[in-house]
Amino acid sequence: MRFLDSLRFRVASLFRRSAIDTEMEEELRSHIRHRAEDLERSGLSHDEAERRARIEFGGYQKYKEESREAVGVYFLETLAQDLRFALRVLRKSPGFAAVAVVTLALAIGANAVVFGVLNALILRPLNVPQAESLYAIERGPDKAVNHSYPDYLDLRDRNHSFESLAAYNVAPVGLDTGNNPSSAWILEVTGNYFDALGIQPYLGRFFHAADEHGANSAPYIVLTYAYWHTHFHDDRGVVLQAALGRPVKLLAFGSAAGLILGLLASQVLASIVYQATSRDPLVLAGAVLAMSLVGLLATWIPAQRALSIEPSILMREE
Amino acid sequence: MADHAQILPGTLDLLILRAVSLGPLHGYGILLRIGQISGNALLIEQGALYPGLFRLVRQGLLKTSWGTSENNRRAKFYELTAAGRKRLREETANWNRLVAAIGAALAAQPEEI
Repeated sequence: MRFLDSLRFRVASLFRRSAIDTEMEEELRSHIRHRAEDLERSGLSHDEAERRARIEFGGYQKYKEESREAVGVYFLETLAQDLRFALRVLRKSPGFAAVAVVTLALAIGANAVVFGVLNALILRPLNVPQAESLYAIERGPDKAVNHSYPDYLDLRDRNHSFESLAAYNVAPVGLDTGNNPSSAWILEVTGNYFDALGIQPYLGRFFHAADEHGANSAPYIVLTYAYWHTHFHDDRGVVLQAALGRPVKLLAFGSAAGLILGLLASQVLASIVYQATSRDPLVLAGAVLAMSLVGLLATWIPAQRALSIEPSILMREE
Repeated sequence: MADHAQILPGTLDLLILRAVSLGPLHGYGILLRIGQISGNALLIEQGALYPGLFRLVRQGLLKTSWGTSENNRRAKFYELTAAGRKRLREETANWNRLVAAIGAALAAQPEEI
């Protein structure tokens, strides 16, 4: 506050400078006049008194300069002069300048990184509703935050203290989105994770505790907004593609398997049951087509709905 | 001139505050007042007063107003602010401690050690 005041004063002084200068001049002259009059009263001639008064005052310009500095009027001008001087000196010794610049750059960079981490971890509150009622459960004297999954289940099922208990695990994975496999860090989370945090997806829907039925029952992934933004360029279609990708593969595999099995079965049947011929290729092809259509619709419709109702970022894990 | 003492660095501010604490004064008046209350024992170059005055104003210890002097001339008058009064008290206490300590040190006799 004081600094701001002082800065405002200095900037204002820059514009009022001539007024301040005039006032200062007037004050110093007034001093000398007063002194001269006193000297005149003590018997000196007018001119002699003026002369003595000036001498006694000392270096007029020097004190005026010092007074200006004391007022802070010339702060910005002095600053500009100092800057020009500093630049000249730096240009004279480029080696030193380079070292200084690099040192500063490194220091600023390091500071920015530290601030970034601090900002994310401490200064910026968690972007979830009621972040203040979010707790981590620590275990034992060393305050470990890791728990075994059975422990988590026990804690969750006998929990009376919290609204809900969610767990997560950080893991590296390979993410293959079709053409550009890359590694990514994910959080493996329990089904109630998003409901426990009380947040809503930007696109699509989250999974819920009800989607979880034992091991490997809920192979869903949710992309973070940042990941979707940087890796998929905010493409809404990626969700549809992901939702359809695996079922289509399954469908193709299923159709092929069904075709072969059907042929084999009809062979077997034909050998056992008389006149039971279903080897007509047209019939088989029609059956496969019908199955494929139903299968496609079965995946297409929910995917479309997911996109339209709550436009979405939910993908089946590949 | 031999009986004039050169003032110590930093003590001019204290003298100004003290002079002004006795009533509002213009620059030349402050100089006269310092001479008067110090028994004319201190040597101050007159111009040196002003950088000090402006510094004190900037620190908010003095406030100014233009008025008319006893010589019927326009002059800028200085007067203590509340902060200035407080600073004067503190600086006076500091000064007294310093003087006591230096005095004691200079007066110390061999048998006291």
